[in-house]
Amino acid sequence: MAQSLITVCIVEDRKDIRESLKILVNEAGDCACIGDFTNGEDAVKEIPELQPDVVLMDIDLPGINGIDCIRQLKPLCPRVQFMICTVYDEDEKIFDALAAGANSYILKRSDSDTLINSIRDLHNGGSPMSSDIARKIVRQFQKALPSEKEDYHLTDREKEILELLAKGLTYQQTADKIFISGKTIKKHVYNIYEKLHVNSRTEAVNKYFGREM
Amino acid sequence: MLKGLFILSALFYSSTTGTAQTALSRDSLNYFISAAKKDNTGVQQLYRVSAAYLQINSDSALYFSTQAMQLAEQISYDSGYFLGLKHKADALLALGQIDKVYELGENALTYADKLNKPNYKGRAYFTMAIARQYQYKILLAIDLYTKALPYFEEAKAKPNLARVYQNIANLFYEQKAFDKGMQYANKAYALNAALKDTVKMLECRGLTGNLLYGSKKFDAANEVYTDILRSKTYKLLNPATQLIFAINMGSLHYDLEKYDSALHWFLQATALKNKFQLDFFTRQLFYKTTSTYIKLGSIAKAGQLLHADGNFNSEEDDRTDFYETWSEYYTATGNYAKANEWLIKLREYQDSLITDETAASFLQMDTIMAQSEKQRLLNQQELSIQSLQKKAIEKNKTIALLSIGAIALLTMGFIFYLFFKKKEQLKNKSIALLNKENEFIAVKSSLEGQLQERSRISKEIHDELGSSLTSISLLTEVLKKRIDTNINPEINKISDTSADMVDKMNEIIWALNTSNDTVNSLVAYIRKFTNNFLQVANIELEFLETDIPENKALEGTVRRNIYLTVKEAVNNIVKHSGAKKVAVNVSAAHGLHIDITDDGKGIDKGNMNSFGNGLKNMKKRMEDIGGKFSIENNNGTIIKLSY
Repeated sequence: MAQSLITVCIVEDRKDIRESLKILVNEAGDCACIGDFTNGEDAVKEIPELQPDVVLMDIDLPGINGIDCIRQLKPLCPRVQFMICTVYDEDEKIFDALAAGANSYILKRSDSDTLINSIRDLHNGGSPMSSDIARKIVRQFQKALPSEKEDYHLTDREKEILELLAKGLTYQQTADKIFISGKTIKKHVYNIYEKLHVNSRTEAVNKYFGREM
Repeated sequence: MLKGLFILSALFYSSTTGTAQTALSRDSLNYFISAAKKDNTGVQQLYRVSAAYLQINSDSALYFSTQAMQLAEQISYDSGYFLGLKHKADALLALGQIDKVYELGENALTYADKLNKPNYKGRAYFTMAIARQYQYKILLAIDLYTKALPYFEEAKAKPNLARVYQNIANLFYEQKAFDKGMQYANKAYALNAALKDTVKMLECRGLTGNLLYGSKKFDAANEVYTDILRSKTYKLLNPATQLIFAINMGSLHYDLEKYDSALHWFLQATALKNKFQLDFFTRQLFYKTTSTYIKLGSIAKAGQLLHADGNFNSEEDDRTDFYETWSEYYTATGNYAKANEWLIKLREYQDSLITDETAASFLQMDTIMAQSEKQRLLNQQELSIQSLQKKAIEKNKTIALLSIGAIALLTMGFIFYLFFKKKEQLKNKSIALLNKENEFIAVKSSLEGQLQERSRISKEIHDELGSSLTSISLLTEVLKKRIDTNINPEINKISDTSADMVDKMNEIIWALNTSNDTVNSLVAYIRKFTNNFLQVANIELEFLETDIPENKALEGTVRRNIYLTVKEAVNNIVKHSGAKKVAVNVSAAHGLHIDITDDGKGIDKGNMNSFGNGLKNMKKRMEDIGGKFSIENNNGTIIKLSY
């Protein structure tokens, strides 16, 4: 049983929310909160030691914010998956977080089922993506096209999915259009997120070889 | 440069200082005196001896004239006494004892008072006047001459009268009261003409020339001088007078910038000077000649002269010309440093002149200056009267000219008026612009203040209320886990409501946030809303956008009203239409157009009440912001918004 448990860490400055999330995670049955932090600095120190499966990360934190926190942690623990927890679905912040190395995002006010299912999805290699995030990614790589280096190295299929999502189609509608399952779509989206923060990976390599920028 | 030149021209009637002085012993003098008879002839003899000695030994001349006068007084030979005035004065002047000359005149006046003979009184005053003239006390001299005049008139002593007129004319010349001087010169000339004294007439003509020259009537002066030089009597004038005419002629040409002629006359003067061994005006003539060479560009010649002359001649009493000429020479050679050196020397010299004595004479000069300034004003007035007379003669011409001038002036005035009016207008305009700008700045700053306030409020709502509501939402989720939800459906409501509130608040924040005041932002928000909303309702969405500008501004209220209208429309579709597919078409090519098409059952016109309020609301929202709203049935519903 212990092996199938999804280990979770929570970074959240507000006590009510932190405690609530902790309860919801712990009562899900297959999840276990193994650490919770009130600020980014502590998280950067502790999480590489704990190596959880998933980190629920608030964006607005005292000290370094959630996005910078992910940017620092991702190279240290590349296997850890980061899920942005946010009050509002503000595209700018979510996109910045994804570019910094986050793998998924969720609204804090989501009901407990949605929250836990999202954690499970992410752990299984899936990621949610709204049409606006999709548009942002499309626009970003359109801008970056002239420079090979800036390209996110997306496959044609990934680009196709992105464009359909960007038009406003749901996962199911998109899946129907290109004749694949809903689960596969989520896997593609996960890969898109991974490729999105390709720079972070470069940073990771640089860090590994002691050539930090 | 030739300051003091002309006054001397009037004075040289008195003898020049002697050349070789041969001393006579006291014994030989006494012998002459004792030998003289103690009667009228003795006195006359002594005067003749005095006159003879004047050129040879002025001391002896003085001695003899003094003795003669004493003798005349003793024997009451009155005319003999007054005859002595000229002889003794000549001797004293030759010796430079000018104060004694005045004393001599005073004593003579006392003597004359007893006799009541006008001619003697006149002579006494004349002698005093000569003394003052030699002391350069011009006003006092004129006063004394004027006192002498009535006595000479009374005595009908015409030659004396003529001499006095001539001397007064000369003094007025010195005072630069040229017109007054001219009056006296004319009187003197008339008297001399009556006396048929051709030499004196010529002298008076010379004086007239000088006066014209002084009043800058150069051409008239030139004419007079030329006349004098051409006259037969010119050669009868004594060489000194001729020398002075030559110098004046040269100076006149120098002032007229006819340097060739000037040089001719200066050289002529030099020749005269050398021929008759005249040793006055030597320095002035030398400097004047040198300066003329410089003006003619014969700088080498000028240099030669100056260097040959050597350093300052100690006999010279006025060094001004000396320094000035050297400075002029160095300026001409381009050696400005040297020229400046000489100028500095000149200034130092002039400063050194200011002693008590000179200060006193400055005071006198001030009086003279004041008087001459008055005269100058009088002259000016006279000139203006003359010009007025001329104007009267040329009245017709002037009227024509004046009218042309008047028209020109009017035109110019009008142009100026237009110019200044325009300027004034521009000024007013710029002031108005400035005021407007200030108003604009005020409005802008108040707007900025509003915007800042909006941002502050939205940030606080965003940060504080947002997370508080989120807490409620999450806490109810926890509560739901702990309590059986079926028993407590209200808990679900709390959860839903708080989640809903966060959404609504998000909308308010979006509307408040000024950074969202663009068309682009509105379209993105509508897209996200429709996408999320229809996804939940499982209705397919086709969202098309064309010509959306990147940063076109859109006011907050407009943005909010359009968004709420779209929200209402989409809400209605989900609630009432039963549609499977919705197409949202946004175009911002001209204004902003949003078409929302569904494939539902369309609007039942007969059953408008159920959502009539919603429709009215949408219409009102669009009209409030000056936009349009329409709805029609066409295999479903088409709602058209435009702004």
